[in-house]
Amino acid sequence: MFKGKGKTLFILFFMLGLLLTLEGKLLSKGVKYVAVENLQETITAVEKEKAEVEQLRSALQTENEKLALYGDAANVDQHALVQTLEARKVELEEVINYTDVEGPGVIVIVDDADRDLFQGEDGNNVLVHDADVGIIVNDLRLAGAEAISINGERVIFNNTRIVCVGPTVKVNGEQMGAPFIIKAIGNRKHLEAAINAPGNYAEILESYGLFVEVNTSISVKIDRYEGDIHNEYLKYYEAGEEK
Amino acid sequence: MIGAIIGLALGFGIGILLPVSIAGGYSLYLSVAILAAFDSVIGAIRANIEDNFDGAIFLSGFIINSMIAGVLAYAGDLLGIPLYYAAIFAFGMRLFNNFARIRRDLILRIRKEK
Repeated sequence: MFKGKGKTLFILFFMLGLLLTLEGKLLSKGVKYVAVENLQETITAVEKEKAEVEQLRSALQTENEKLALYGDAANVDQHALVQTLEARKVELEEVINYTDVEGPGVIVIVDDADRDLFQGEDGNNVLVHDADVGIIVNDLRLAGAEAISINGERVIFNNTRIVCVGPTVKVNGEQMGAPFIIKAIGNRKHLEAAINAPGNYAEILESYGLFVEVNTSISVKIDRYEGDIHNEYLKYYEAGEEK
Repeated sequence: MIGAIIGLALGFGIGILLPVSIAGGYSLYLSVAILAAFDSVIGAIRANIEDNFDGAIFLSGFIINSMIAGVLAYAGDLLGIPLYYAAIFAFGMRLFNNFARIRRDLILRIRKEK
């Protein structure tokens, strides 16, 4: 229909129009240009977002299940709700050592030496120190002790401080002198071996003349932790929140 | 001229109606190719005004320049250097040159008619 010039112009403009509409379509989709060098980063970012969404979904599901549990309890019976919460409270108290516990275990007695000092010997050699108590407690914990107390003071992981105070020792802020009666609940054989096995720390203490004795018992009673658990710096965050 | 307008309209129409679209990752290459296409088209208009239009040159220029511009942009992406700047500078300058010549030609023509 066109000849020469016209034909060429027609083809040129036709292709230009085609390209322009393609680009327009592309832009109207709201796509963002990503250079090849940043492609991998972008892929990782997208994957991360997807994983987060998945995590949030599962968190939502668990929360919904919890909600359903409480919701049912509320609808059916106020009493049942109270029971649910009480059970939860007991569970949590066990975790933070706020309950009296009882079970098979060992009772370790550590006392100062009753021998006379050699001439010129340091008096520290015959005393039980905070570090000695600490190491024995740690030995028991490594042997699988589930609850430990020193002279009735419950040892809890993050709040018990065993401090040297002159000739005495402070545990949980309570000042106490020798003898130290350390109770531990756990596998009796393991706990006994933690103290008695040759080469253990108790043997070193005994070589200084200190008194160390282990008794196993079918039933050791350990009192609850009396103090507060006070955290100044840590904060709690929900699963899935930004850390 | 009528052929050009009809061609542009037809290109738009078919482009909109065609169920073809280009993946988002290629938008830059397409943009550079469009720049090259614009250059060819403006060059063709100028040649038309100056009456030294050669169809084969312009058609091949259109297709090959667009393709080279797109390929250059892609290669630059692979190499990590923005090679598409080369295409933008080259075709951008030629666009301005062509526009300037078109303007001058039109002014001269109007003067001659007076």
